[in-house]
Amino acid sequence: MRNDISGIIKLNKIKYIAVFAILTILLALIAVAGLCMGAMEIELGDILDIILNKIVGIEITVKENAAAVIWDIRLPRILCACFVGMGLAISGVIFQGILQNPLADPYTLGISTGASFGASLAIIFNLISGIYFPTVLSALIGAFITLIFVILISKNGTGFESSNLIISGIIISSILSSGVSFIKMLAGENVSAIVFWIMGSLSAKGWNDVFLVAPVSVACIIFSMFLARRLDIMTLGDSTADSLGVDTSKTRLIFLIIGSVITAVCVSVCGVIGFIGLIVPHLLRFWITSKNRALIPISALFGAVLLLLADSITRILSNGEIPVGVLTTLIGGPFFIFVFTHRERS
Amino acid sequence: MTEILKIENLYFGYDRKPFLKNICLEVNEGEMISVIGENGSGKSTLLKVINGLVGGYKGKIIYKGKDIRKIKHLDRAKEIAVLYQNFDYKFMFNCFEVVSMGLYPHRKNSIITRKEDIDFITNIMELTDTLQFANKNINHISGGQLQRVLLARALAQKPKLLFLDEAMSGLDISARIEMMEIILNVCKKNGTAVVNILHDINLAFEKSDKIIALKNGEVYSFGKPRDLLNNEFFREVFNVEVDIDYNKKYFRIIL
Repeated sequence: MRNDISGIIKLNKIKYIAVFAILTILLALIAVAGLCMGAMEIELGDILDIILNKIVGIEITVKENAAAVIWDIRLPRILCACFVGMGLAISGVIFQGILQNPLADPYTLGISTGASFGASLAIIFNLISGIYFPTVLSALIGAFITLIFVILISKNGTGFESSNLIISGIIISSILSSGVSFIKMLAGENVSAIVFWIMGSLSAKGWNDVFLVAPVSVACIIFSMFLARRLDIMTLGDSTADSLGVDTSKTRLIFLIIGSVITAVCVSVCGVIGFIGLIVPHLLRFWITSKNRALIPISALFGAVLLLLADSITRILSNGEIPVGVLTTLIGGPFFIFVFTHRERS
Repeated sequence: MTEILKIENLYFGYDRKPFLKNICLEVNEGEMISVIGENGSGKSTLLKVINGLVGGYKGKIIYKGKDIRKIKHLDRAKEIAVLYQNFDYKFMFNCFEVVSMGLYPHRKNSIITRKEDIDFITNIMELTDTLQFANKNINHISGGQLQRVLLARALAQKPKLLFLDEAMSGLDISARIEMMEIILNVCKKNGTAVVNILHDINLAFEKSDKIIALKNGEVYSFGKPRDLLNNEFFREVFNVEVDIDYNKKYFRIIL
């Protein structure tokens, strides 16, 4: 029996590493396929040359417009998909942990609605005034103001309880979504710009977006890895976590900020992409483990794989006309129903 | 016997109304103390106050000669463990992982991979009779088994003082007795003091060294079970008339 325990621990470790390796390979394969895919046919060797040329400056003979397609269009879009997928998945892990609810997701607290509100404001302002105010910035501001409100409303004498957070999230979120509806009404004929933005899309993402999303996602992953055990213990409930020496209010606040920052950045860059943040951690908890030290990196990779896959499918189907957010929800929703009912039965 | 917890003239209230009044008690190393009383008599509140879950009390709570408020949160977790009533666990950890969480105060920044830690956890799971489902999902075991896993988690904290907050309330009689035997066994061996809040009066009188009876937020009586045991005690503390069948070997409350 005793040897069994060490054996099980070793076996689990091998399982985590194997899953991690498989997902990494999968991600690389889809990324390469994504680079090759598109209206302009460019060979794999040329693609490699173009990337090496940009990074280390080797001489190449490829046409300049091909280089532009790879370097300025396809590569940033793919990287953006990866980092946004990672960010949303990690944020899902975090919110499920701190809200002590495996069905929470990055949008539960209304951060995304705040970002949508900010973005809608910027879009209509730009249309009406003719002055350009960056949508991304406005969305970020909207998200952070929402976060501050959620924190202020849910704080009570003893700290932040998960039910308080969820309730204040719902309140703020519904106020803001009627705000968004109001702006849509004001926009009149131009409503499609807002609708399209909110639906979530990765088309036309450039290096600016990558440089915004990538560092935030990576930093948040590293940071939450350090605090992973606390997140494990939070699932035991506040009183027990407290008796184990975890300051539940402080931990919840720290993770709330980390999770919200990633969500804010992801939503600001590419709109509301649904279901990645719910499905990825939920499925991995079910299939692999709930232990956050393993769950966080595996979720990050799985999130990247799923979003990149979904985005590649939209590119095949429609040359990027269908917003990826619609696809993830269309496929993710029914899939989730299947998993959920299946789980209940077993 | 060394005293490890001492409470002097403790007052505590919600919304400025005094709820706990003039509580005094001592807990010695290795002692099993049961706290009984009606619902709402202040048992759980007392536990919350001692564990710092609610603030703002008057009086003194001294742990090993130190004011408990001055002991750092994490240091307190190295000495004092609490086991609450069974609850609905929503996440899918296996039992070994849950028990390992008990080591958190001692191994804050590392994962449980050292051989000595694994052996320690394995030992505790053996003592609590939970080793056979170490790799099972915590949602897939019975209520009695779950509570033993959570007990193992509390014992993994290596506590000197263990609080049980109605930890056996949801269990059937055999699971209750089994749990009590495990607790007595482990705690007597390690010199851990146990403060057990419970409603099972037979169990309290049979297995405790001392009993504290609370009534309306005050200590009605504090002493050895045999000294407290009479009809008046039940009338005063629980408002019931009972007969007590009592000899040297056992006692029984006849309703």
